Amino acid sequence: MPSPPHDLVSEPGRIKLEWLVKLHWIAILGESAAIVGVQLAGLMQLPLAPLAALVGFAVAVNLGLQGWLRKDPVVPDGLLAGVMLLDTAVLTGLLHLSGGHFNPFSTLYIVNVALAAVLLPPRWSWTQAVFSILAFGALFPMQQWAPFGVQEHEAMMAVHLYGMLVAVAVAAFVIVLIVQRVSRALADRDEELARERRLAEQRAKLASLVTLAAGAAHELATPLGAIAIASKELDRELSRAGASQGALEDLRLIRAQVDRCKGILQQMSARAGENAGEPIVEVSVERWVEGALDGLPGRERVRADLACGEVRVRGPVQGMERALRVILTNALQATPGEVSLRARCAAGGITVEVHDTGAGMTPEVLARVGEPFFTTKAPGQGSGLGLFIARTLAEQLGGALEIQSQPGQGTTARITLPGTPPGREETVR
Amino acid sequence: MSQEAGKDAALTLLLVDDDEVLRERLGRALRERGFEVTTAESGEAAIAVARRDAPEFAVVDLRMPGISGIEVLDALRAIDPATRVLMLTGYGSIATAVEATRRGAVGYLSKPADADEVVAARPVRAATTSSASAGLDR
Repeated sequence: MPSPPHDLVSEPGRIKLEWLVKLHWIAILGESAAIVGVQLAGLMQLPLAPLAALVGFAVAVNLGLQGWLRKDPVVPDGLLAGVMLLDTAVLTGLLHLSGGHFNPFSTLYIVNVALAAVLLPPRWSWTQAVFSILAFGALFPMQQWAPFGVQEHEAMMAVHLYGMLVAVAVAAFVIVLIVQRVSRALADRDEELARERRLAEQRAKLASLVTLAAGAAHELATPLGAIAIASKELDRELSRAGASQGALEDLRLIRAQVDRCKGILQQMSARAGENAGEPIVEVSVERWVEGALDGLPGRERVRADLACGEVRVRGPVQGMERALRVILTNALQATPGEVSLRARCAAGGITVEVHDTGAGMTPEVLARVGEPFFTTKAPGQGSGLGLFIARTLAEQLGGALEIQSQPGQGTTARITLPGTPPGREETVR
Repeated sequence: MSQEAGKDAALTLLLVDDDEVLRERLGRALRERGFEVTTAESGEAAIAVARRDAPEFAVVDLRMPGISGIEVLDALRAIDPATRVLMLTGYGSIATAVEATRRGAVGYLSKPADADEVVAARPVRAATTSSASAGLDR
């Protein structure tokens, strides 16, 4: 399964805190720039010492959090909420020291509330909202102790208006960033759910087809048996009585066709019958591939490139060899040239790719490939079950079989299987 | 009348299958090959036949309503351990067929199979080696 998208809503607290720490750095940078800017422009007389102390405090807290995060801690929601409440408190301090409730950057309270609403459960989001309102409200009575020197009112108003512009810009930027990120995560999650649902539907369809096929195979075996017996007996009888060669050939044709049906039944019931009886064993990827190549007509045209060392795979090994052989046979039949077989193993799983440089498939064929009984081979050449069974087996083992092809570009079949979980004996249902 | 049966001409054979068409036609074909065939349409009937006169050879369908082929196998071998039992299987039951050989069946044949194949799968008599359990697909 692909790793889920970076999802701020459902990620563990650690990831959220990491994100918050990054935002802190941006905020600290912005605050410092604003203070220095205002000071250099001579817009306001700021109490630099306490402001620097507060920014320093914010830096210290953030450094502390960053260091702590390296230990890969579990971050509970309560701690996240605490950090965010502290942010609001620091913001309140900064505002108090630089204009109090006149300071246009009070808009940044909204950013904090938006962040909390996204990252925290409702209880903490509401706490943050109420705390922000109270903190902003507290700036009013705190005004009387405000240390900054008020310039004349008109100049102050101009500063305030420009400040508002900047503050709204910052708030808008950060809120869009956060909300976009969240909605993207939600969209990704929706898409993943839809994909899961499609896969589940396919699997259900497959399962019912397999059950049907196995049931039909079992039911057909007996009447076919009667046909086999009767045609054989008729053959004996007529041979003795000296019937025409044509009649005898017809009888042998009937008998041979029953055997052909038998082959199809065997494949149809491959999942229910064959693999079910096979024990799940652990085998090295190389041995699995070797087993599939063993005795394969045309194997001299297969260029194998195995880079799996001693990596092992678990499954019904004969079924797996059959599945790979089906894919190799298809590739060999698609081209008179070479077929490449690549096996790659990573921590996440095993990938075996079979590529041919044959004619490729049209999108219509590609869409139907792997459906039971779908075949492009001449009648009698293929039952249309090989890939179906191979895919079923791959999915049973928690992997997948993908086929990519374009007309004129050849075809690539890719089997992916999960890495081997140690221990645990089980049999395929 | 038939030459194939040869020295086994008097071999008694119990054929157990719930499908009447297959059972009777196969029974007739085996009779023509010189076996003394008794047929039974169910496990119960088969066990009753074996109690009266244990056959030397039995061909038993694995999947039948009522008593299953495996139980028939157990019962036949309990009545007479010398009875050689060949299992007939449909699909989706090869695992069970393998289980049957573990429990003493001499082999199994996948349906569809004709009379010649049943005769070929019949293990040789005790005089020669007894390891031949024909019909093993794998």
